[in-house]
Amino acid sequence: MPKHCWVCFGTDDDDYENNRDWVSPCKCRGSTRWVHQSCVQRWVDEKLKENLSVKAHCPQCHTQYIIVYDEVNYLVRLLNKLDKTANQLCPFLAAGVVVSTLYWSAASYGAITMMQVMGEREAITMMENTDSYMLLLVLPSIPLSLILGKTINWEETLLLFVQRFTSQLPLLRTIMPSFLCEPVNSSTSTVQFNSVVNPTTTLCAALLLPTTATVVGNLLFNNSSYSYLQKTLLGGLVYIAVKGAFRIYQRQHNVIKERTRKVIDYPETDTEGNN
Amino acid sequence: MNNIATQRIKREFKEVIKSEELAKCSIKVDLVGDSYTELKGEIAGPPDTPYEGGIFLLEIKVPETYPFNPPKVRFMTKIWHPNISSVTGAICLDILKDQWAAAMTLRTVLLSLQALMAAAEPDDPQDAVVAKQYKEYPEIFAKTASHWTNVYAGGIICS
Repeated sequence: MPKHCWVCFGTDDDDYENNRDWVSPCKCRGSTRWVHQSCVQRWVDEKLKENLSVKAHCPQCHTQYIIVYDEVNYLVRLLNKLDKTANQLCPFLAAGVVVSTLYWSAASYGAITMMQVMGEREAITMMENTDSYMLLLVLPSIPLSLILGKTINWEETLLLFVQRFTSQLPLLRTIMPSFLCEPVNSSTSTVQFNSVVNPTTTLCAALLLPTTATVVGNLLFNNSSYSYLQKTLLGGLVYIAVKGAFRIYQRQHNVIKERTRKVIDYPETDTEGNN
Repeated sequence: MNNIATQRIKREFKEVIKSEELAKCSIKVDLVGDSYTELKGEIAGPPDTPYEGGIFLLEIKVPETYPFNPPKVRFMTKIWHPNISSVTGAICLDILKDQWAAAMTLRTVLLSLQALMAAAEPDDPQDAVVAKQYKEYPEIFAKTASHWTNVYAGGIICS
């Protein structure tokens, strides 16, 4: 019986294939016994492409192929092993680099913020007098707490409070008539503070807060006898309060806008009117 | 297309032409155009099934990686069967997917499809509507399938 390759269906009678190697790699007998060495190699490649973890086997009888490699010398083995180890270690190393980069950025930001807020000389003196481990913990927590603080939605709470009490206090009623509006509890109200909480906005606003506080503090209390730190803190408070007031105002008017929304009749055209 | 796929299809062609199924008008393969990448298959509906008497045309596309990957086969003739989409003709059959083996041929694929027509697998359906009908109302299913066979697959007479 002529040999017959189960991959390319060539037989050993075919002239141009006279010199190809034949192999019988599994328990199969009969028409699927023989296969060209090159053909079965392609099949193994194809299977490994799908799933690296399975061992190549015969698709008919599921015998695992016995695959041997020429012995390589010590140097190549060592290099292969090094490659493998490097490939396993590098993901952890890369993660470590990213984390430590974030950590040191946060720490530098903390140090710069301290100098900005307290004044350069005081900040440096204070940092020099603090335990260095403590500093490594405190400095990175400065930007972290700024960001966390930014996520507190105090304006919403205050607005609900104002809405509830405006109708009861005559003075407030006259100066802020728009707040007479009942607090909107129904689910139809969709306008909210930070209704779309954009993470980049939160991040930027939080990290820019110390700079803004310094600028506002210096502008407002330039001539007073407050210390640098006091000026900055007061500036920050003023800034947050003013901004909060504006946001509450904006939000209330957006609620009113949303409530007065209505769909109106389509204006009739002349032809339709005549008909 | 690489040499191995073309060589292989040419050899399989001869095999189908020599096969006894062709003599019995049961399966048939034709070339579409000059290349061996696209073929047209024909299956006779198996006897004692609602598909008896029908001739079903198949679109066969041979990938460049054939025979390492299965051919893409689709029913061109509309057919009412749980494992074949009544809309697109797409087939749900394991040997056309992950259970393909390089030792399989166009002939074995066509014969497997014929076997699938005779014995549906409603628990692994391609067409959920058909499969539900097959399981719950087998008589209505048989009627629908044989009606579809008459309307869509009945016109051609095997020569």
